Amino acid sequence: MSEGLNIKTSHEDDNLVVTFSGLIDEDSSFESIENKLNGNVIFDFEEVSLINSCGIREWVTFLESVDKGTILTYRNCRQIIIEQVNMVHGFIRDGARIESFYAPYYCEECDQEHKVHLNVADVKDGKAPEIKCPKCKTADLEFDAIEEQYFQFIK
Amino acid sequence: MVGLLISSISFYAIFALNLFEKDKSAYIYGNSNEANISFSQSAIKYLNSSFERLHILSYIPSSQIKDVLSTYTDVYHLEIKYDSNKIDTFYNLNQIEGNGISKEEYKTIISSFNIDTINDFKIFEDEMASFLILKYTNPKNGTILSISLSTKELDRILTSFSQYKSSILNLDGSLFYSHENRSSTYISDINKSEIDEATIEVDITNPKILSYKIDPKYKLIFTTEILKSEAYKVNDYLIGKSKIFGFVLLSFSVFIALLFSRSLTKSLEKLYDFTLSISKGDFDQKVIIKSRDEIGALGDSINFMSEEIVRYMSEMKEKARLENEIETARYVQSTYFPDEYIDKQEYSISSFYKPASECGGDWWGYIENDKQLCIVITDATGHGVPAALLTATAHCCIENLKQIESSNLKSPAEILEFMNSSIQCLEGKMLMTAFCCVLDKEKGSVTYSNASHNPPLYRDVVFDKAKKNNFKPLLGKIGPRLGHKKNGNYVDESISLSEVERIIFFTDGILESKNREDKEYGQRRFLKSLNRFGEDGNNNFKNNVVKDAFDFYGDCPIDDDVTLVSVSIKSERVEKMIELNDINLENKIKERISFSSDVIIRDIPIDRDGMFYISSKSDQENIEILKNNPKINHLIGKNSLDLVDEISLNIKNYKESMTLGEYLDEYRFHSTNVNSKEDFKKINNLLGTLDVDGYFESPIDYLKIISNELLTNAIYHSGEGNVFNERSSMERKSTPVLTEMESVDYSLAVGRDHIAICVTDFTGKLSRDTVINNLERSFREREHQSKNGGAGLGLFLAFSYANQLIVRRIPGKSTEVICLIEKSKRFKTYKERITSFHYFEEKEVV
Repeated sequence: MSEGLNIKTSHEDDNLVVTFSGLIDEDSSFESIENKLNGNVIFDFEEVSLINSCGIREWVTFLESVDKGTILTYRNCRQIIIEQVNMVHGFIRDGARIESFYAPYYCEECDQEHKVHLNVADVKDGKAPEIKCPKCKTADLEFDAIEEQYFQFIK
Repeated sequence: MVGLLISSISFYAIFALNLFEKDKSAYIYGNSNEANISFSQSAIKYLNSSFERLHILSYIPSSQIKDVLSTYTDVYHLEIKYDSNKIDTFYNLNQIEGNGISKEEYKTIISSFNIDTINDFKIFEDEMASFLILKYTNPKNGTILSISLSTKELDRILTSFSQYKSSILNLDGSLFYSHENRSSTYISDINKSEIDEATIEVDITNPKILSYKIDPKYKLIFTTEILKSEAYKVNDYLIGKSKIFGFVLLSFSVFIALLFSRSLTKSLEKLYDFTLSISKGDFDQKVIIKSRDEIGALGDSINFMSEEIVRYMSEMKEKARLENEIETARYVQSTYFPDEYIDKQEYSISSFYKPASECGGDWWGYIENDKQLCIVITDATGHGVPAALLTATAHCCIENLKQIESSNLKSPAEILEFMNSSIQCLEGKMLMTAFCCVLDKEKGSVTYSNASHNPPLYRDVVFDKAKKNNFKPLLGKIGPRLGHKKNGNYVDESISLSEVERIIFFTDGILESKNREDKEYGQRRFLKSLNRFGEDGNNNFKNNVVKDAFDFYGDCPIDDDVTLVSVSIKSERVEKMIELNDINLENKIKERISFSSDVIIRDIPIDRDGMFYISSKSDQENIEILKNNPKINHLIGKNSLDLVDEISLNIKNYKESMTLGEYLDEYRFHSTNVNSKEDFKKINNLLGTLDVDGYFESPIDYLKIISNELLTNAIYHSGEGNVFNERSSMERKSTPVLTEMESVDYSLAVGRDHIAICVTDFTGKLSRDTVINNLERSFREREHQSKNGGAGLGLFLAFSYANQLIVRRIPGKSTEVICLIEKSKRFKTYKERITSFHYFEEKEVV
């Protein structure tokens, strides 16, 4: 099944940006970056397609091996990643923070779902920010998940 | 304290002596200065008068000078040089010869002095005598006078201050005239002072007090000096004496202070020791202080305080003991009561009990056998612990009856008589109302007897909403309260069981408790409430009736214990199979589903076979319910897309064991075999071709995860014996390769309103307990397991991402695990859906 996990690194100011793409599963290896992670590190999940239960275990084990002094930031978390963060302990370790993520919205007018990219700062008091439909430009999008459940990770 | 006293007095003494010393120093310095001033003034005055005499002599004719000179006792000779250069010299022979010198010798001495060089005055000293030579020029007539004076007058002035050594110095510090041989004139100290007149201390090695005065006119410095030790002799003497006197006085004071303080501190020490004893919890001692002062009063107060603490502690101990006993009594009494909800084949009992204080005087209990159900309700006079003790007797009576003759119960009147005789020992001091009712299915009767209790109310089988009151009292002869008379002579009354749908037993507490406006809830409101909720299922009916009463009481505490027991008699009718709080839903289900006696649909969990539990709770709570109720195999999320269809389909499968195709709807059905992880790719490809129009945006992501997890579980838990163990604990990076016989079936069914994934293994190992225990652990811990093999989260993910998880198992043969996602445009609807769980287990058909 494995379509493999690809890991690319780049630098952005003082930050090391680690971009994951593909599937995180039991075959995923993080060895290529294990010794590079120190200082400020940004994990970019924009292109992660799926993560399965063994992938969760590999990810949590990998996080435990990362130096405690490393400051971790999660960027562009897809819905599937946010759900793992909310459901499974250890998917995001203490001290790490999520910078941006995707959230489901729905337009009643267009009868269409939209995945909206949000920054954590956009979510005030656990409420999803108001967004206009990018298609019809007139209707307000309706947040299409349970806010209390979806934004658990912000607490 | 004494130390403080000594320190204070010593400090004061040192301070006073220091002041005294400073004062005396000022006095000594002042005296020295005064003496020097007197000395300088006398000397200057003498010089002034001598020059004055020369001035006068400069005008006196030379013929008269001799006569004038003879009156001067200090003049040796006078020389006058007139303007005409004429020089007259006069000798005062009396003076010269008075010193034992002849005139000629005098002349010789004087001529050796070189007088011409003198400007104003000068002292010349010879072995024989000393001479003060003054020279004066009269500015008006130009006469120049030189006079030689005896230094006797200066000697007198120098010696007139006998305590001091007086000297006259030139400005350069050289000695002008003195009786003493001076080792130092201390001119450097004088110059350092930079003032014309002062008293200073000089000479470090041999300290002296030196007073000086600079006379600018004669350019002389007048000094008087005295040894410091001499000057301070009296002062030191006085200070020495003062110290001795002070020490004696201090010693005396200390002695007196010690004498008096001992008596004071002894009492305080006793008090201190006593308070230490108290702080250590020793309250048995007393402090004895005989003094009649404040200390004595304080001692009495502390003794009193100690006694009060002992008394208070004793009271608190007793109170704690009583509270503990009451709490124990409350707990013991609570065990007398049956469960709040009892669901039996023939009837259900739903009850409520709330005591007005820690313990109550109400009680109810029941006895049952195959044919009969006996309900007893009692209400003892008063409430609290005494009443609770009486309920214990009632409870014991019923327990005894249960054990002695539960198979053939006495009549209600006999039961009441038995209870009455049991509490006769109280001699009528405490009484108890009671009502006993026996429902006899075999006889089809409801028999009851009343011992002065509120008659219970029963509802007819037919409930007529149009009627104001559907509840009737169980009336009949009322016997005396239990304990009132030796023989109660209670009478049995009876009605037909077929008339009765439910009976409500209650005590008067529910009627008589009041609200803030002091209004009783009363029978009118109670009956109204019974009619309002009379059609509800038994448990909801009881809950609503109690809630209505307590809403009325508000925050006002109840006056009496409240007990309400609702007994619902089940008939064979279909309606009894379903009982929901939501009447509309209940009716909808009744309309569409044909029931059989082995299926029951409820919105409260009942642990029995054929139970279909409709839940509004969270997934995690539902898994806990399933764990705690092992007979519940069907839990349906109340927000199911089509709840009635879901129940209907699963009841059908429960009864008839549908094929997988029938069960999943064969609208579009794909099936394939999976032998290893390599085959997952084709599954993903298959899922990628799915038409998910009408679904939220990303069901395929979730379907992929579900497929992955179910297939992984199936292939790694395949095989038998060692093969099974080896595969289960295999590193997930490696993949087992299943034989054709072992291969796992994967099915994808796309129905009108759902997409279902079914993974079938052919070991039949996945039992209900395995599934529920795995889910319970995952929900509780929410993290992977640290063990060989899988992460232990596969079923958790599949359950969390599915709307229904269905397991159809034939033990030892096969297990079908089905995950179903319902059709929904809205992701929110998908996520809010409470996941249903269905478990079917059937025996292998041989």
